[in-house]
Amino acid sequence: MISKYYYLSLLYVIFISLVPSTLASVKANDHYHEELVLQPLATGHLYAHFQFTTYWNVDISDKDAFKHFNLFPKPLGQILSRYDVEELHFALTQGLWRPDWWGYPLISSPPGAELSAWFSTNPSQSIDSAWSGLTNALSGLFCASLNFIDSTSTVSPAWSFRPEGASSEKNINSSRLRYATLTSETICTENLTPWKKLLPCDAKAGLSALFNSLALYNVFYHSMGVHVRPVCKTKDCKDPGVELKQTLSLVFDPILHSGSRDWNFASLFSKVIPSVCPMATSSQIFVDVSNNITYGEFTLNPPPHSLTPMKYTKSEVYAVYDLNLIDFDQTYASHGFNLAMEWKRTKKYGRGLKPPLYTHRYATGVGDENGGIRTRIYNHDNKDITILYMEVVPWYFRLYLHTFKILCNKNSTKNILLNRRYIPGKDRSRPYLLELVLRLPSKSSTTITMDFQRAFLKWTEHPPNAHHGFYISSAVISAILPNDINTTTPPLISTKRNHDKEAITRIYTEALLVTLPTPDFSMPFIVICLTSTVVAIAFGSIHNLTTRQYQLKNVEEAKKQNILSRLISLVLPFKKK
Amino acid sequence: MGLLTDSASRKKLHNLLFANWPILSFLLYVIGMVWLLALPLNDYNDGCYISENALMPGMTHTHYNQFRDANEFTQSIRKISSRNIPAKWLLKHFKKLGFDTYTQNFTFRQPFSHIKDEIITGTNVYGILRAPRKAGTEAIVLNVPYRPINETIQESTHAGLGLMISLASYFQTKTYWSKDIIFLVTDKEYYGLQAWLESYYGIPTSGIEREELGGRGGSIQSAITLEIPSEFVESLNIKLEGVNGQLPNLDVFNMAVRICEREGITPTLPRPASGSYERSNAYIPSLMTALNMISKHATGIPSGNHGLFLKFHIEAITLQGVLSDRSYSSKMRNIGRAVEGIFRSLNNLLERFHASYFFYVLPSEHRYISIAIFLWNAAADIQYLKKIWNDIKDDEQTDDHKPTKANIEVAFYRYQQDFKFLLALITLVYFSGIILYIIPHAVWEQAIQYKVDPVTSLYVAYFNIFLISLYVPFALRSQFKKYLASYSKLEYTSNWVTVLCGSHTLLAISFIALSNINFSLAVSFAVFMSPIALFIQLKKDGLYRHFQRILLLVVFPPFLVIILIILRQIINLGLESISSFSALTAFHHALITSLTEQQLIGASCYPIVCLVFWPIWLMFWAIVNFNQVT
Repeated sequence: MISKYYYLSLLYVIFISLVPSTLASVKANDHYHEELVLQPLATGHLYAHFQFTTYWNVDISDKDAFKHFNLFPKPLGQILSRYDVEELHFALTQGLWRPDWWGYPLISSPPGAELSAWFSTNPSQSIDSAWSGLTNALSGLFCASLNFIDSTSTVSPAWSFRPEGASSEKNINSSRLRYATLTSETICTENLTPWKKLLPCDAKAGLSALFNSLALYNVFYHSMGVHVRPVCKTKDCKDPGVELKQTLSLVFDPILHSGSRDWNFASLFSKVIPSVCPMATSSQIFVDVSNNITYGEFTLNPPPHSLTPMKYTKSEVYAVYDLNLIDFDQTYASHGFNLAMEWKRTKKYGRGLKPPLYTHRYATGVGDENGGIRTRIYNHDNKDITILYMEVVPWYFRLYLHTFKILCNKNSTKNILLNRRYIPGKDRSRPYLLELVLRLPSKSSTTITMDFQRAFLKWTEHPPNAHHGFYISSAVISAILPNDINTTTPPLISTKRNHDKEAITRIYTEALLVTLPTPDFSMPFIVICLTSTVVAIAFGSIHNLTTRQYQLKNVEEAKKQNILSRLISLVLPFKKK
Repeated sequence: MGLLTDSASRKKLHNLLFANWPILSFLLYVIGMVWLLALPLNDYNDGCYISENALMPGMTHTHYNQFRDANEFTQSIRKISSRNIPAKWLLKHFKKLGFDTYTQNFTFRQPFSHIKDEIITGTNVYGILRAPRKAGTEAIVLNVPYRPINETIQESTHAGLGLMISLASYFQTKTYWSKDIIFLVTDKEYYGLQAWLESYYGIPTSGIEREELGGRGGSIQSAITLEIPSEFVESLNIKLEGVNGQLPNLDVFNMAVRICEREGITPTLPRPASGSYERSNAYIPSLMTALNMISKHATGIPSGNHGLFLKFHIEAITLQGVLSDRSYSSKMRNIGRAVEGIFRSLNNLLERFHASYFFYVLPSEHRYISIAIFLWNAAADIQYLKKIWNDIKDDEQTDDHKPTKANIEVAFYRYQQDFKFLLALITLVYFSGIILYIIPHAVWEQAIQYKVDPVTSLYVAYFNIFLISLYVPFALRSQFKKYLASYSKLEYTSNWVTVLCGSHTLLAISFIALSNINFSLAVSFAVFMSPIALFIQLKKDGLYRHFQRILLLVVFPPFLVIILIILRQIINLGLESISSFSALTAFHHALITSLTEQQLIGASCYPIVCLVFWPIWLMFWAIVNFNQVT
């Protein structure tokens, strides 16, 4: 008996001592940060960028580690591990970010859905099958029609995309990269709900408590993203980790809500922050106050906890609110934390910033036969800028390389195109991919022209809304802009881990909606059926008349044959004798 | 298919047609005419309905209430109104709303102007309200043509401009837009819009030099043109006719009618000015409305700016305010709400307009005649089949010394045919047509160059061409007499039969082709040409030939055009307004307009007359005059 009790108590002791130790080890293993950047824009709009970052100190290729999850969301983690994903970027966007109005966003994404993934260097399966599995799995996870991504929309761009995290490979090989966009994808709450569920606090506490779907979609730009990348604490990368960054970018028009540029959380989201998320290591709000004077003065209420100057220029200052310093139990117990900005001068809409680099893209041509794509890229800077330009065009817009032209308003046209990579499309299997390296002269506008022919789709290939037209997804422009250019970057957690990687500015141009020759799926079919019937009947008799061979037949001989042989000749016509 | 293969039954059919051809063709013509007149009867047309379910017209509540702003804007535009478009004022208002604003300058050389190298310049101004809900892949256009007060024949559009600005500031406060809305003010009527659209789609210029556009919305799905002269309008006229007989999708019209009625502003079709044809489904008003539409439709010249949108596959209509002579209550609120309702409907569109009809004639606001019904009328008028049988019959008649019916299969079988003749004649008449087509521009340019009155020289040139063309058969007759003598009489006649067959077939084919493009034009010509073509036969009788000549001269294309113009004036203004002088000025105006529009916006009325009807007419003329059976 004693021994029994002894064992039991021993087990109990072991259990008691084990539980906190495992808990502690897990706690040290991953941590979670919440950030919100608020930036009043020159036009009078307000840019709100939520960023929820989860770090997990495991190697992304370590499959055993991806069996026990704490803060890192399990559904996403399992998908990453199952399909050997090293780096993942996924965004769902409503509206178009307009650089000529708003400058550049912290994370840009094209209209619709964008998915890109780098696969592991030694995958357990073929990259193509992993990609198809990944798209289908994410499609289920985020309720988005990513399952429509197939070989006809997937490319492996060689230049435009680099791994953002600590890559396991020295020489980066783009064959591990898959990139696809679905411009026709529309975003709604059904996408937001699963995205919200990946957060440790869901939308119950902390910054995510502001998420009110009615307000989140009533905006001028809405982009939610999921970004996973491997990171290293140190430069030599001895201690690998995984960073999951969930972002939500919104552009509000406070003037519509309040009649002036004034705003507060309650007017924007119809919600306030009730409490801090207990899982979050840090929970901060950054408000860009660097342009306080130029845009007309404003005041923040309540006043910020601190001011953080930026590293490049001293004029860029962020007001910082630390939710962990706020006493939610007493000060904001009744109505929660509500940040407000009030303007002294009541100017409504302003002129957009003309940033150094912006674009205008449009489709040319009328009718159902030919068309073209024109992209105008403006460089307003005093220096030449080298950019990477990438265009993915579906196969049913048959591009012609001989029509490719680059025109520049400056005379030095010949030095503009530095390099070109063109992969022609294949009907029903591969899109056209065009990558260019361009050096844009200072103070210039450059136009890239390429013509296409509209293909005839088979009638079963038309979508249900055949007359809507077909999308050509945004062209991607990637550039490393000079530092002195007015690009503000707040001191976000994730940017600290970039280890001297140069900040790449990405600009997505307008997506294009182009019609293809579409049959009227009702009337002509009746007409075609009718005429075909008539033609078929006429054809039958005419063909019969013209091709039949008339031969003389000896009647007497035929009569002589007995019944049996006549029967045989009827059944087996080839057995003549 | 006994008809094709069984020679006995085929012969029976032939004989039936041979025996009764004059009655048959006359009958067909009468059926066609009766059919045309019967179309406005309610039993022969259908009630309008919306085919595109996504439009949901009138499902939304309209809240536009800023009509006082609109009136204020109108007043201030009137104050600054000048010959030039008030670009600064417009830009200021668009910018205040945070729109992307742009201007576009364009220039063109006025064709058929009395001044040498007259250059006309203009400016388009537009602002784009970016759709919050979509990435700017689609757009809808609200277009107002700018017309200075008392400068043009047409009424000014200042109230429309004022309404547009107030609508813009109202639309701006809404976040439900899923299509960019382009507020476009165009200058110099069609030409500004032509320049803008050509530039929007990056297609090569058609004679109007223009600047590049600074910015664009997405692909344009639909457009509404507003022509509101003043706030005291009684009803909205809905104009539909586009370039070369294009019409907007019937759904656009139906939607506009429904929404206007809901918002308490009467939508009307353009009706003849004479007589008070009220909105009703009774026979006479319906007939007059339909004829009025046919008369406008046939010209191929757009009745408003919407016509140019149609050329670019953008479904568009013009809403024209009809001034009231009775009431002095402002209807701006109703019009504003109607436009708001229309834009809300267009905003709902998921696909381009495709569901409803593109070919129709409207006898009233709520009824339409579809292509399925009226094209039979055209077919009956044209009597394509009749012509061929007609010629075979001719063949039989002229060779009455050996008329064995069994021999007569088809004209081409009968004799060894010589197509040289037909080809030569066709070449000649089309050459004449081409000269006619080219001459006006060349003559006008030269006249301006040498400071001669261009109008006189143009008509002198026309007169000469007509004279030469008319004289050619006579001249050739004497020249070729010797050559022709080498033919046997039989061969000679058979050649003429071929020519006759060819010209009749050509006429029928032209009509059929044309009726598919512009039904109204085809019918207007066919009504006159068909019966006269019936009389063109090979006859020895001198009296009959004179009769043929007179008949042909009646439908001499310039005369025919004058007849059609007079008819149109009768429909529009009533009998008493007609005088020979007004008809002639109208003819001159029509000629210059069609020439100008052909050059600048590609209206093909003049080319069709020159290259389709004139050669055929000339062929008939040659047949009547050249054919001397010796």
